[in-house]
Amino acid sequence: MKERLMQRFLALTVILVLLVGCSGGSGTSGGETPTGGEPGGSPVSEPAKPKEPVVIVQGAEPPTMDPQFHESGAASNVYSAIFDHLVEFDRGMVLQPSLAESWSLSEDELTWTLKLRKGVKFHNGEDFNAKAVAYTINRAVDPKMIEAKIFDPFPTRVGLDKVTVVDEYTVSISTKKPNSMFLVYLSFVPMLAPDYYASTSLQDLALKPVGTGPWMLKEWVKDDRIVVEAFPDYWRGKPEIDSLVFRAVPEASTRLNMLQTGKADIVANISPEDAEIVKSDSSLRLSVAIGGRRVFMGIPAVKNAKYANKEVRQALNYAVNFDAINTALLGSLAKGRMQTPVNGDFWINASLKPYAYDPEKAKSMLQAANFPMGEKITLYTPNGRYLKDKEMAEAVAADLRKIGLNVEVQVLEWTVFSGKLTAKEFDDIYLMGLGSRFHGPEDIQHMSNQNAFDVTGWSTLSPQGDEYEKIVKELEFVFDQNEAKKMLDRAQEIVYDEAPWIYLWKQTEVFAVTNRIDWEASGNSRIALWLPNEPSPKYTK
Amino acid sequence: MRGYIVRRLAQAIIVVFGVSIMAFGLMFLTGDPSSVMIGDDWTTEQVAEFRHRMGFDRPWYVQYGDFLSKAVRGDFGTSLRHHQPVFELIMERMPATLELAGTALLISLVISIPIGVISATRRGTWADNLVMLGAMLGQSAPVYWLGIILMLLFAVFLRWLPPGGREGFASLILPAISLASYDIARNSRMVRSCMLEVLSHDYIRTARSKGLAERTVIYKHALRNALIPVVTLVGIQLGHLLGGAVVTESVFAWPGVGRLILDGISGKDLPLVQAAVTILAMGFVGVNLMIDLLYGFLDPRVRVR
Repeated sequence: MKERLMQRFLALTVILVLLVGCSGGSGTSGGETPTGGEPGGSPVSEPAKPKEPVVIVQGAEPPTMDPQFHESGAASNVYSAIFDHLVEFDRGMVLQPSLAESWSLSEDELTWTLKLRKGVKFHNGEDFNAKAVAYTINRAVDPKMIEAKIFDPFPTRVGLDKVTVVDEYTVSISTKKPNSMFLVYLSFVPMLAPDYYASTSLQDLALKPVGTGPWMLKEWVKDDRIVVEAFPDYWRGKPEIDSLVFRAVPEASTRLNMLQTGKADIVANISPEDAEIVKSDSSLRLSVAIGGRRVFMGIPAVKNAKYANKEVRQALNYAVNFDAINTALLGSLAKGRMQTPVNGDFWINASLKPYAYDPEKAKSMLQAANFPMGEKITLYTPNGRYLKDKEMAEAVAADLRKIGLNVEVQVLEWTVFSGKLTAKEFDDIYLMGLGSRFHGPEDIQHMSNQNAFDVTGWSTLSPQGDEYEKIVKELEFVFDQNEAKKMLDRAQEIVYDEAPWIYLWKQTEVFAVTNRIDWEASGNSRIALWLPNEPSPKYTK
Repeated sequence: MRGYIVRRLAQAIIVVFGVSIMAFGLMFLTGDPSSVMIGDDWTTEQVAEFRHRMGFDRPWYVQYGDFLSKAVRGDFGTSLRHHQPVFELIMERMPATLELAGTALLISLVISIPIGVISATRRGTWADNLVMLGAMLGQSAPVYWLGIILMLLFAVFLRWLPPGGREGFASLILPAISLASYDIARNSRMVRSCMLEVLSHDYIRTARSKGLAERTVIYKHALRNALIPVVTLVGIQLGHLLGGAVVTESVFAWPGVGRLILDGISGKDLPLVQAAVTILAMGFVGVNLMIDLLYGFLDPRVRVR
């Protein structure tokens, strides 16, 4: 028995050695050495090697390379290297022509006619034309694709009627109802090579994308690296950076360590503490984007009757010392407290000033409203989903305790949190962040009872709620920007006054970048590599 | 013997079935996947349509039945997020997991056995105390913390090794050591205590009194016996390691099965998690079943229990 056990032990060891030996080979597949930059902290002593790929490190990678089957920030950063869109946002978050050179809207405001750029090639040599646009958009409503669980929400978002090829470089897209946000939604539809996508299996398409973008996929080692190389026939000219590597590194400290050791060139989601480390390293710099993600605490006015009174919700806003949170937690990244859910200088109602910190006023307002001060309030928060989310919830809880409220913070794992959110189950205050496309009429929709993420339900209670919901609905049909702006100003006044949220901030997005490239973060939180009307990003040394 | 095999096989099937139903139930309880798949701007109406289209609005037993009927035919389904067969996704990442788990296990054995022996044979000396102190630290230091400290030291300050990723042997060292640290500590304590027990037996005294060299007594007579419980432990340990060293894989950006499952859980990729957990459970139960059958074959007493 003893000897048999000894033999089993030896056999186990041999098997392990073999396993390690067998699997070791694939660890170095591809021969890519995506290193770049000088080691951080020390002066540059030898010239950088400009041919080395630029390494972009983010928390996750796209689960699929078929862009119509998935939508997320990390994925769109990769997709934006490989695919182009008909229209694209510029640095100032204004839509610009891209694969569509110009567009016009019919008098009945139902049909958009787009003139397409000529001479654009897909990575596989196919021509980009009206057929490609029609194929891409129709693919999202193809019953076979729906059966295969295609995700692209464009047809639903705009209320698609039909796509018509007018001539080789003209396409018209009709909607069932006028939709003023049509172009915004169109900017999220990546253009696909029609012949290739029609003739290739979905499983292959999930691995091998073909777009018209500046870079094309060269290698994908799952959960490790995605290597793209410059597309020589790109319509804006070959990108100056020959090769990009996207790496998925879930742990924030590892991402920072990679940056410091020259293994990364662009890293997103830098925390205020890490920003200090980056600042102290002469080979690195910070690049800050306005972001625009609205981080707030939703107050469920319907589910929890004690919040039904708007004075109570306003009081909770007065009770929060956001400036202290900004200094203590956010490294003073915030320009100030959020006063409206709307982003963009044009759209923001500048007459609204953020709620000031006034604990005495908060307390007296709550007492005047007969608020049950001793009753337990639970603040639900995710952890790590938004910058300092849990810490911010704890700071808000401390502020609310200062005015005599009985508050506890409950941290929920994101999958549980998001499930409760979309099921509209929260019956107490919850911390949440909502992304933004810097388009006022869309930003304001997020407080609507129709939105999947609005748990507050305030508009069903308030006498101003109907007016607000009416404005939100009508904004879809208003194409005149100045008129839309007027309506939006009023909607902002209403939500400011109704305070369905405890307003916190519009999250600034901080990137750390090595000095060997000239890339700068643009308006939103995505990594837009080559923006419209700008030269290709390039090496600086 | 046949009855015994049938009994054990039936038990194994029940365990795998139980695990699969638990994995499904737990994922199902956290809400349907649409909540993490939809965009900020969706209306409740659009969400309802999406849930219906994806089949998330079907009762749980229909969804589970769908999975089960395909799984028994060897089709574990397609991932909701990757749009690839789940089995392929798991197998793609298996080499990385085997590489890390195997190396960690080797490191833990190569280090823990000699130091366990040294510690037992020099009981009460400074060497023994040092080993025990090290073992205590190794068992109490969280892998997460140790990984980051090792990374800071060897990757950031000394620049000897890469901080993460899977690019050749150098990138394997830090994650394998962090993953092995707990097992080194546990196994060396185990070897030490087993050795101490064995060394007190009569046959060791007999061996010594026969005039055998101390080295022979320790390695030929004592260690062999002391290793019996260690071998059992190592089998279980390998099962755990193959399940994916989730924390280590995340800290060191190691592209293994653990990370795939973790991403699947956070993305509510029901088919992926369901299949991955079931496949891992099958592996675990399979290994155990084989060992049990082997025991039954070797030792007739086991069969009648």
